[in-house]
Amino acid sequence: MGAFKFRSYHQDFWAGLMFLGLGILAVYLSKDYPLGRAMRMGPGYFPTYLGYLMITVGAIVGARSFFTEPTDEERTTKWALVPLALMPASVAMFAILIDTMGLVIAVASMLLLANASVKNFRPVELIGNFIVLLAIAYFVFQRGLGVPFHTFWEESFGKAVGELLHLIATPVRLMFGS
Amino acid sequence: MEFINDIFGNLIMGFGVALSLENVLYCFVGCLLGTLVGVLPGIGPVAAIALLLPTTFALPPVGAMIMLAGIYYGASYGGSTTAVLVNLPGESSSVVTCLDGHAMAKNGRAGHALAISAIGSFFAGTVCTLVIAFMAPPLAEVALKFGAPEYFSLMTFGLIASAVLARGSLMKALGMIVVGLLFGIIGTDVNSGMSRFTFGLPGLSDGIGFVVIAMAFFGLGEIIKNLETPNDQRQIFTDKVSGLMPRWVDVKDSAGAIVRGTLIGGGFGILPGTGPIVAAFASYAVEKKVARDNSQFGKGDIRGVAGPESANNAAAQTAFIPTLTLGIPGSGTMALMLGALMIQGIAPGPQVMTARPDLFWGLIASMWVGNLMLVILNLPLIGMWVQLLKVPYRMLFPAILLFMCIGTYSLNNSIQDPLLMAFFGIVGYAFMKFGCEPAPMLLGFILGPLMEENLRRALLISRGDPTVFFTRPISLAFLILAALSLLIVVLPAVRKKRDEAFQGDDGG
Repeated sequence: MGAFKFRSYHQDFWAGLMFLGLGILAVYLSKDYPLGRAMRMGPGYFPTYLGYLMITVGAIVGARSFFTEPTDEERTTKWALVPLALMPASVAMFAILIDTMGLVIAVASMLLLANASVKNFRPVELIGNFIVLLAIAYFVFQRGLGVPFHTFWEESFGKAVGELLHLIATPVRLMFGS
Repeated sequence: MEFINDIFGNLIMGFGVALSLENVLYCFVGCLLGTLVGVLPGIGPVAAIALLLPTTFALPPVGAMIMLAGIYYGASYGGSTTAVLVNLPGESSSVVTCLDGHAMAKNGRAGHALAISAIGSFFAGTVCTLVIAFMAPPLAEVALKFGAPEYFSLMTFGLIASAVLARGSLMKALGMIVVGLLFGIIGTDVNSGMSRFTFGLPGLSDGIGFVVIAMAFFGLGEIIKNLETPNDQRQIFTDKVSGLMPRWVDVKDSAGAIVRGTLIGGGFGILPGTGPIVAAFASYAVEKKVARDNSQFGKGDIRGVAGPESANNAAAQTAFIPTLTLGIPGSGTMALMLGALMIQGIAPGPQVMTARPDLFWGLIASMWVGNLMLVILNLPLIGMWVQLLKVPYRMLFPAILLFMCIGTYSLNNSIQDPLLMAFFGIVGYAFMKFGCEPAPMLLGFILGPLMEENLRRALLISRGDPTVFFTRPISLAFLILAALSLLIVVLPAVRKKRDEAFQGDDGG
């Protein structure tokens, strides 16, 4: 047991804070839902009590950080901020582009963004990866499993290229029987 | 005798289903894909299954479950291959295999380690297929008598057991369960039709898909974590994989370990909330105790591979018992299987066995077929997996990322799911950084709606009297078990043992 002290380097402090925040949010949001009674639970019953439980757990976890020194495993470590920003961003990029700009642009942008987190830029490797992944996305998912992607953005331009690819893809399509 | 005849009759019917050309093909494709993804370092079975789940949506229920079971075994087996060849377990249950398996690889005995792990897994799989066939029907019979209070208490026990056996802080594991339960509330309340926790977003009215949550926490969060450290300096033993044919000496040496591992793993797997991880650790500890000369453990003792690998696979197999008969998943992977069952329009629970005997017995038979397939498939294909391990992570993670994007998109053909995954990936990473394990969260997420429904029903029957959970004997028994397991962990002596058992486990 260490002395009572504020320890922002203790994982439990932050975990407790997150639990606490979630619990308060849950209770706050649930106040608009009818609570009902135990016999006839309303939509607010379960979430409200879960929220209180969450707050309790959060308080206990967080309180621990004030009384104990963290072990090596419990010490906070540095956040990987670059990948933390880039990975979700590249997923979001794919999501935003896929319906409007089509598969090719979406995959390319996603890869570029994700690859920005790698230290050395290796263009050949990146292009190779792009071609392989695009081929898998196109032949296996779009053609094979029938995920409704556009290949390109513009209908007329896309259609022409699409038809060409469609021709090439025929044997694959037959194999998957769709 | 009647009972035993029934079982064998059912098993034969099951094999009839599992051995149809179509289903053997699904099983094969599942095993192959599962191993392929499972071998990739840094991808555990939960992420692997979530990643491959969308490929099964188009199949009929029986085919889909058989393929998923194949993916499940493939992913587990792929994980141990990675553990032996690279000192980087793809899943936490392979951590134990790393200890001696990797040491054996260093001594140039990677082939022997892989072979004995395949044999041990196959033996465990065979025994546990029979265990399931014998245990599931009587258990389902009991479960059919369960009412809402029993279910609620059982789920409480399952969730608490999963927290008790999770790695790290008990309180934080309990917290993660509640987080999962809260995430599970998002969407439209079935009873009142009211939107809850949707923040006015119409897309959230159906709730968040469990695939999205699983991919976010186990896939995206994990990738971010892996990118923290440049790990291109992995040590891979790729040129020395020879001697894949097991030697008689090895088999003789490890026969005891395999049998003990199977027993330990089979036992642990049945308990709700316990994954193969605990089984593998327990088996390793037992082998070290039992061995007359345990000086070689950690330096490449074959028993240290054979025992945990058998236990691992046995537990993976018997984990299907609570999942199939009670509808209570014991681990994150089982939670995904349960979710897949629901997507196929099958309500999990004891009625599955009587309502869909083809599905139930076909699945059980296909477990054995899958195990056999893995042995046949993996020993010759090991060279291919080794090549795969040579691909650097900087090229792998964009591929995983893309497949997660496509996978989530294809759930509803909408861009909302990948966006949600991106958001929850950040949340998942934050929890990981604060030492919170994601597995209990996934269990809570899947069980949340079921728990609320059973709580509601139980209290409706009892006219709002909460003592109903204590006056019904089976319900009371579950609650006592839950309390006991909590109590045991709080006891300092056990606590120390638990911490020891998880030492050296770096998650994953």
